[in-house]
Amino acid sequence: MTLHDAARKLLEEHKVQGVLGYRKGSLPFRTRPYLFRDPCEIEELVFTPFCGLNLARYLLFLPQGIERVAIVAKGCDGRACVALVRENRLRRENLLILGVPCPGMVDTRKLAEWEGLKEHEVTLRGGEIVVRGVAYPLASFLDASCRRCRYRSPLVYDILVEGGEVPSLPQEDTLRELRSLPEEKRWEFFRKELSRCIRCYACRNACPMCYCKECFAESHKPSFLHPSPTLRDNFVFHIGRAMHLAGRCVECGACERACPLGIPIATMFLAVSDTVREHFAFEAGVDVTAPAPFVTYREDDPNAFIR
Amino acid sequence: MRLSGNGVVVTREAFLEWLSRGKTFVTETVARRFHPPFPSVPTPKAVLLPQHEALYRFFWARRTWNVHPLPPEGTPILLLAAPCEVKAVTDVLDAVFLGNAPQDPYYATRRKNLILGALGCTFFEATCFCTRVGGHPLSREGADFFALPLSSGMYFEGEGVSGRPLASSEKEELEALVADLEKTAPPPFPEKTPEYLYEAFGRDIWEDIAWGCLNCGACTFLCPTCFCFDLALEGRLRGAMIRTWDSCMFPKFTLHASSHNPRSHPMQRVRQRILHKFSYHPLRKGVFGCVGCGRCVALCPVNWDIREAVERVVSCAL
Amino acid sequence: MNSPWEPKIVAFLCHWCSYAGADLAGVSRIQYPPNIRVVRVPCSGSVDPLYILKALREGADGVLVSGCHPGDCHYLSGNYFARRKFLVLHELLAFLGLRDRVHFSWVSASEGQRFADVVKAVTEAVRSLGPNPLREGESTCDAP
Repeated sequence: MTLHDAARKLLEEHKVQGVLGYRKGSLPFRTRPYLFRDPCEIEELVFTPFCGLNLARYLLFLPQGIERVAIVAKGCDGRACVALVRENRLRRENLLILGVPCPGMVDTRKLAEWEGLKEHEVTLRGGEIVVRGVAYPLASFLDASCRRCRYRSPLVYDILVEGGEVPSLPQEDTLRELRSLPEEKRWEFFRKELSRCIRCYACRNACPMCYCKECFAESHKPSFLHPSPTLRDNFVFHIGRAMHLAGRCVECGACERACPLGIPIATMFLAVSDTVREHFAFEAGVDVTAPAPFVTYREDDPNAFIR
Repeated sequence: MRLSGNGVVVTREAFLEWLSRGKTFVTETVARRFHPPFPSVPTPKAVLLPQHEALYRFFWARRTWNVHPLPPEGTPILLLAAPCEVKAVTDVLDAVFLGNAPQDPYYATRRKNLILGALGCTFFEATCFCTRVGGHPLSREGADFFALPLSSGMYFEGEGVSGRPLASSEKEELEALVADLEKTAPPPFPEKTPEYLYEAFGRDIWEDIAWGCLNCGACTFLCPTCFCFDLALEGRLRGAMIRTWDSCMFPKFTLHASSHNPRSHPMQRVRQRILHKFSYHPLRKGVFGCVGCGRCVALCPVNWDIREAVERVVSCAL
Repeated sequence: MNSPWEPKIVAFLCHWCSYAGADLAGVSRIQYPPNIRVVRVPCSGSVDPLYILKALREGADGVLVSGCHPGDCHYLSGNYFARRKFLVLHELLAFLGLRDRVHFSWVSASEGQRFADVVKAVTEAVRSLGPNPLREGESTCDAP
């Protein structure tokens, strides 16, 4: 069944009161989130390589009157749904996951070098992207988190849509280059990027797992950081957020796409996810029953870093 | 005030050389279009109202508080900006920080020492909508000088640069440009837009309009007209009073000391932003609180489009 | 006053083991570098990573967090949870290029000498790294 048929049917049969999906944006290569409530609106539902926003973020911000909702879920969005259910923020029975195999999302900044590019001039074809008639390897145009994605198709779903083409791209170790740099160069890189941040909180607000009513960054008593976007305050914000997302980040990259300054903010969260995966054999949003890594322990947990 | 046509033409090199005489910056818009060899700032706001500045220092000594104001140095700066960005300074920031007594001395010092030039635009980007809010891509209103790239050099209006008068081919080029811009200009918002928005405060439509917005704050920080700030003391026995940008999108923006928050719901904050820019500011000061630069549209993570929001509310009223 | 730079290290010590161990070092007159500033906490598991980040934000050149040996936690499992959190923070800081600013140790109440040795090692490690790199762009409210 295609995505549109499935979504339309769900609304016509009143299985859900709304379908959370993407709609065409007001600019080329942009899409926007939309809650489809009427079956005839479904013709405006789109799923393109420019649907990087993690819709699961909106599951906790639904309008009144929506008891059961369907969500168009890429692999990472599906993980976010599972993670939110596991954290008891959502009831599984109120959620209908409309799984869509994902070809990877294109980093629109990479398209900026073609002047006046129109949407129809960009198509995906297997492992390639065709821009104005010229084919390039798809991997070089994808967002960083998509290049290393392990779950392109949602693992947990109610309906899995067919017809989506998932290219068999190898998972790139996108952090390898950074890890291979000597310490001073790595700090130089992060010092520069963290200094650029203006603390607009777009990254935090785009994240499906950041749903605290009062963020630690806005806490006055106690105050962990100040509103000034200095290096030291930005450091506390990003590393603090990375620690709060440890074992919860679903590696979707929505944060990096949201950043208006193009700061590669996801690198930190992906590094933490790697640590949790390597040492605690845990990935967020993959198994609804697995206990969270920081409410359990093993007596043989890594100890060598402690004197 | 549009360009008069009575300016002069100089070479691009001569223009750049004239600009290099002092401490010169350009806005990112100008950097992107004109590629001049000067450092860029995101908006004029970054130069006039820095994202964080210490207003005064204090320390406890000799059994009393010692307070030392930290006025800005007032280094003369030249900033080349797009006409909409110049309008942001003259129509909104000046009105707010200099319009009432007492004037903001920090802003006043920086403003006095700022030479603000306008680099005219030759086309509308997909996100531009200056003509919808009373601006124009060739406006030199409020600017200390005006420049426009032509195919044969730079057209310049203002003092300090001497060049030759316009050739007839250049006059034709200018007229063609003006005509082309007229054709492609986004039409102004309906005349009574501020009033319609004001009256629409209590309507049901806002929940629907506001949905999708992340309430992050990116738009407010990138906006050349947004000026809200927060004051905070840093330090205890020694420290400073720091002013930082604040955002009406943040949940604690209107948190009262009593813990009541009149805009605790995201919808209320989105509505406030639209009404402030397109209703309250124009009703009080006679000009829109938005200059149509389009940054918020271009950089919003979810493509929430303020133009569409205003159109929707107004069309309900009409 | 232009004295040569000395690292300032904030030490979060758990009340039942490490703090007592530090106390024992003190009453035994065991000398160790005076660069640490001690903050007593009930358990290493109660140390929120944000405390460590706040210490760095305020200008501390290094941070030490010390608790009971695994298996000996007064609250039974606090240090086990702490160990997992600290591993993540340790690897994250190393990834950023800030390895060796933040140190962890298990020191029991009877290990006075060991506490002194740990402090010596940590102080030297932080001293060789130099002052806190987050201090760039200091504002006027910062301590000289």
